Amino acid sequence: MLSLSFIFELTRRDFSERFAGSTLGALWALIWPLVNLFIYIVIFGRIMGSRLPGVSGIYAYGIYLTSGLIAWVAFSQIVTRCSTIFFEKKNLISKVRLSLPSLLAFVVTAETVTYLISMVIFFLFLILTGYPLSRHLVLLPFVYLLQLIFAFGIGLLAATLAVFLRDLKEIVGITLQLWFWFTPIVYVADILPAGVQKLLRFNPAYVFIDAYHHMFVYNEAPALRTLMVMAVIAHLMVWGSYVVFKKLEKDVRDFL
Amino acid sequence: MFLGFAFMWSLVVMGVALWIWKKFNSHLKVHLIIWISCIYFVGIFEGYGFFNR
Repeated sequence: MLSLSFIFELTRRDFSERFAGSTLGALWALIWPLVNLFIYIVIFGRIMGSRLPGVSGIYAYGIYLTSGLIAWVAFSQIVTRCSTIFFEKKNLISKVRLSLPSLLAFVVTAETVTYLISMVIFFLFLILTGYPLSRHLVLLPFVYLLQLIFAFGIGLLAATLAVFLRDLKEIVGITLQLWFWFTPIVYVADILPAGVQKLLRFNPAYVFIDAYHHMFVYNEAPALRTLMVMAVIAHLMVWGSYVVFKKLEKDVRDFL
Repeated sequence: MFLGFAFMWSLVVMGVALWIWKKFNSHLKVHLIIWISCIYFVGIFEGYGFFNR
C-alpha cells in the first residue's frame, strides 16, 4: 500500500541523514543553492562576462544558466537516485512488505524539497535585482510536475532493471552526462549545426529546459503544443515502466 | 482567468481520480489514473493557450 506518512518519514530521514553530524545541519540545504547561484550568476554573468545573444542585461546569461540547471539537477538527481533505490533500501524491503514505487515517491519528494529551496532562492534573487518576472511563470508548477512524472517513469524502469543488470547504474550516469551536453543548458541551441538543431526536437529534456528558458529569460509562453506531446510521452513512459515493473515485481523482491 | 480555470479543472480531475481510486481494483486504477493525469496536463496547456490568445 502506498502510504503518504511513510513517504514523508523517509524524506525527513533522508534530510537528517544527509546532514547528520555537521555543525550547521539543515542550513547546508540553503548554503548549497546559494553557492551555486553565486557561481552561475556572479562568476559566469558578471566576472566572466558571458552574454546571451539577443537578450540584454548583465544577468541574462546567469538567469538562463540557473533556470536550466535547477530543472536539470532535479531531473537527473531523481533518475540517478531512483535507479539505485531498491538496492539502497534492500534491508527495508526484505523486512517490511512495502510498495516498491513508494520508495521512488520518496526520492521524488526529497528532490522536490531541494528544487523548491533552490527556486525560492532564485526567485528572491530575481525580485531583489528588480528582474521583470514573466506572467507566463504561472505555468512553472505544471512544467515541473510534468518533468517529475517523466523522471519518475525513467526512474521506475531503471530501478526495476538495475536489480538484474548491475551495470545499469553506470550506464544511467554516463547517459545523463551525455544527455546534459546534448541539451542546451550552458549554451544556446542556435550555436549548434542545423542538423543537430533538428535532432533537438527529439530530446525530451530540451522541451522542459526550453520551457524554463521561455518563462524566465525570454518572457514568452512555452511551446504549448510541444508540452502537450511531452505530457503524452511522459505518461507513456510511466505507464510502460509500470507494466514492466508489475511483470518483474516478484523477481525483483526475490533478487533483493 | 487561467488560474480560475486551472483550479476548477484540478478539482474536476481530482474528483474523477478519487472516484476511480475507490471504484476500481488496485491494478486497473493505476492504469486509469496515469491516463487521467495525462488528460489533466493536456487540458492545462490547452486551457493556457485558450486564455492567452
